[in-house]
Amino acid sequence: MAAQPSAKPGPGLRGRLAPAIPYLLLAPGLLWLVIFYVLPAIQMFTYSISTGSLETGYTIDLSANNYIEALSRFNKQFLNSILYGGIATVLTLLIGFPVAYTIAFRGGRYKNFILFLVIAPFFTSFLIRTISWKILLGDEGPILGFAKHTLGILPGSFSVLGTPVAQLAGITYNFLPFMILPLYVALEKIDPRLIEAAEDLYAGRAAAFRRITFPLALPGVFAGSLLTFIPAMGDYINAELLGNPSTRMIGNVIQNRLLVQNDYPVGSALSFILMAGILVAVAVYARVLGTEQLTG
Amino acid sequence: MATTTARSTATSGVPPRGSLLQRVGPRILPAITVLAIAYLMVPIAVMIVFSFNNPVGKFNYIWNEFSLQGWLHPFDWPGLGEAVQTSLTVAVLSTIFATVLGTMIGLALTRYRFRGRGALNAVIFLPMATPEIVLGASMLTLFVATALPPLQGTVPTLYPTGFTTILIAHILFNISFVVVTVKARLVGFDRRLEEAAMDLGANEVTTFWKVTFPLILPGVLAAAVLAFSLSIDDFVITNFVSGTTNTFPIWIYSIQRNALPVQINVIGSMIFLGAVGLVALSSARSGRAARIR
Amino acid sequence: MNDQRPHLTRDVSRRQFVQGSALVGFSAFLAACTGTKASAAPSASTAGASGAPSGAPSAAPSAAPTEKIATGPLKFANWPAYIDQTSEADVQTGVLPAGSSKTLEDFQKKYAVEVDYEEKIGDNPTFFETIRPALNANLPTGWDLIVLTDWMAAKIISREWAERIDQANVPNCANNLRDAMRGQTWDANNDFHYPWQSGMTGIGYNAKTLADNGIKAPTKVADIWSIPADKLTFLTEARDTFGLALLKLGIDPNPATVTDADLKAVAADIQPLVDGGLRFTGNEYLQDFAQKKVWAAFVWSGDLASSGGEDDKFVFPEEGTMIWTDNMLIPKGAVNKYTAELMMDYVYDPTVAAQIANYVYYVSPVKGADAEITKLDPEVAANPLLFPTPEIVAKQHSFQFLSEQLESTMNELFATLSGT
Repeated sequence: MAAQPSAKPGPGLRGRLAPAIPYLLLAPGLLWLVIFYVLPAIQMFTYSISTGSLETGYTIDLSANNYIEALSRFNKQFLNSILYGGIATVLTLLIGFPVAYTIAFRGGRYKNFILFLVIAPFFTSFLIRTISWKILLGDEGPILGFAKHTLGILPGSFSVLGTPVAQLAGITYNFLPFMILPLYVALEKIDPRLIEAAEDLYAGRAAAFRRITFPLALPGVFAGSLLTFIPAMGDYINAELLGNPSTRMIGNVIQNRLLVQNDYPVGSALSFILMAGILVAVAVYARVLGTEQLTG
Repeated sequence: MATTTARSTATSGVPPRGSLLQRVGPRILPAITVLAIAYLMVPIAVMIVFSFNNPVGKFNYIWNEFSLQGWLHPFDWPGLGEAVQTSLTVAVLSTIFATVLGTMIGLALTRYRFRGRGALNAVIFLPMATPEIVLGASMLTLFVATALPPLQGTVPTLYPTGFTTILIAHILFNISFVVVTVKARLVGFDRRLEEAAMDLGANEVTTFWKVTFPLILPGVLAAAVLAFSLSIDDFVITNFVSGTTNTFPIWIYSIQRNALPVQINVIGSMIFLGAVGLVALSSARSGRAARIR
Repeated sequence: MNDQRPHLTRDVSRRQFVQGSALVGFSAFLAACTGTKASAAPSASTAGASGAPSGAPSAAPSAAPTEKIATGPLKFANWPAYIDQTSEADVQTGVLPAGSSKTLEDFQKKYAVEVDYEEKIGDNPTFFETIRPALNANLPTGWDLIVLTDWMAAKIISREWAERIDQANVPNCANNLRDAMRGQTWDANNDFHYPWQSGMTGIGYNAKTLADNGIKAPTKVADIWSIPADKLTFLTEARDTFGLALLKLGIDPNPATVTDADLKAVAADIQPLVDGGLRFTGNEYLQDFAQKKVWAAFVWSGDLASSGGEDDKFVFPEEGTMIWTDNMLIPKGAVNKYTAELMMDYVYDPTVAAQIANYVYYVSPVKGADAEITKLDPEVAANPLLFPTPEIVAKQHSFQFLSEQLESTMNELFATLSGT
């Protein structure tokens, strides 16, 4: 495993230390991940290939029964997770990109402040944000009530809460900062004179965006998509508070399996299927965006 | 800018001079941004408004009447003050550690080539992909195991769980998010800038602080802010590894069966306004400094 | 594109970074200012907090101290909003600090021991999962006193994970426990638990909305089925939902006699409602009631009593109500067992019990509490939601402690109903 820094190694201390630097940089964080994530995950994995229960104890039998049960019994919830996670990611991109772009290029002195304004709502409790949305989106609340009775454009039985729309809106809203922040850091890095140069060369705004800005922002798009899609797949609370029994996601199933049923084998199998699926999706996405550079 | 675009021909996609689109065009983006920010703020506004409510009964779901009760007595519940303090402390500390560790990993990943990168990336993505309940339950098992043979005595014991284990867990889940965010900034970083600095006589340390760090700082700060927001609102994982220590999110999620007090809104508003106020202050001061320079 | 120069002045400068660090430091300062107790809290909760030396796990923990000294701090875990808050009057006059509870403060003074009261229990299975690994491994959980609902308490007791209570230390409990609460199948002699508060599950509905839609106010569980399903919610607490549904089908919800077939019949009965838009909630139904999204629901008595709207009514169904109780337990390995027993005893003093019940608005298990509450708040004493009449008590059912087989069937059926 030879590490090659891209700058030329020089004489002296720098030359001797240079090969070790990447490992020194990696070591502390990696150690943390290995001890506190990988080891516990391995323990969890052993549950997924075991049979038994909390009372009778678990025996590892290396069978795939748990995985088969997980996939066959809960395929609907897996699909829900992919659907809601995917759509939410696209929506956060559509909403987040203009915001990040405006802050990066037009923010000026107040860049940091506006960015913070965008993120600070997420320092408050998720529950409060959701309750606030429920107050706003209530059947007779300020928005729907207005539309139903004053404007008369909606039927009285129209309802948003407890529907897939509300759940999707909740996931989108709560993952917006995860998309905006990486987009912003990628966009902010772009030298505006590149765009000027493009326009000097007779490119229009749209073309300049398509050929200069967006490609340079791709690392941000990639990062933002990861930070949104990956956790959204495992989310359970939006479904719980804003959805209904038909919109449950795989996170809800895992929650139920582990806490209520104490069914660790199937619960961990579900988790590992989720994790494997996500890794595959990330690899494909990186390939599609066409850069090995993005994955670092 | 307007003069350069005027030179462009119609085929390049620029609207004809003087058209509605050209007048409105530059304003569309800021308009969308303002709308988006308003959208983000809306539940916060509701939260702040309802913090001034005097609810009927124990649940703050409907507006009843204006009252300053919540603001005058924000920590009126037994143990709530400490829970908030613990949450803030853990958030600050875990942000610092996770940002440092994550940035280091990000630097290593984007600048150096080595085998095992794929596996490393997987290890970094996986904590984000793992449902929180799995993370929490498995870490608790680990912590308990440190107090039992065979680990007992050979590793520092992390049981009983409490502040330390909360901190460990928060640093863990934050690292992944930091790495991904910082990498978005580091990708394509021009190493020749560093070379140039070193050719001009700076050593590694000076180069890092004067050249590299300022350039990646927005990414690092963004990652830190993200990590802070993740930590300060984490419930599931913290619930498992906190032992007898309480945190504000745990309190909020636990209280629902019996009450929903105004204090939740009040403390949430305090945190929000405090954070925004601090940044506003620092932006204003740095702005003035920039102009003086 | 080789002309890219660093934008050291455009980006955040080092000055701003230092300011950012100041921000971080200020947050820590803010953190330090918000605690009512000194910041010994964080360090105190790491290894050694409960007083046990951190390296002695396998000293199997049930030896009671021979001399009766109240050791502390007492680690008491409870559901939030389940103990009285110090009144503003007492805070103003400086009698008690803000953020305290009179009950706890008086206890601390009386026995000269500190109480570390944490409102950490949000629901039974989640809390149980946080202590199960320790109980399994014979380690102290860190808690001295916890409060869990019947079925979870029963589970813990059946696994021998609760400390046996020394009845000599809890005379109030032994004498003042209401007779209706004695003789639980899972702990007939109260060797391991004493009730904290009870609640009832029944039907809640918005009288006005139903009237506006020409629907008769429900008096029986069966009436609920004729209300449009998307205007209903049932409880995520499976035992409560299934219990009432069993009553509707005329089956006695007695854990000893209910069979898997009965449960399946219930699930089949509820499924059409789910298909029609029924949702399962915790007590978010209060918000749904407030927004007229829900017209009727299975509800818990305490909530509507304290926080319902004008038109929100609670009714004890004709078929019967479900009753559940949250119980105090001392988990195995509790370091301050004697102090925990003192606390149990203390809250069974009728005056103290009245103080708690008056605030919490649930049913007190203590004889004589109703007489005391009349002194505090005469109206409350006549409230059937806090003091159910004998007729209601006669039709109360407890569907809590199920056999493993039955519980597993119920949970699986409920998971399918609720989409997980």
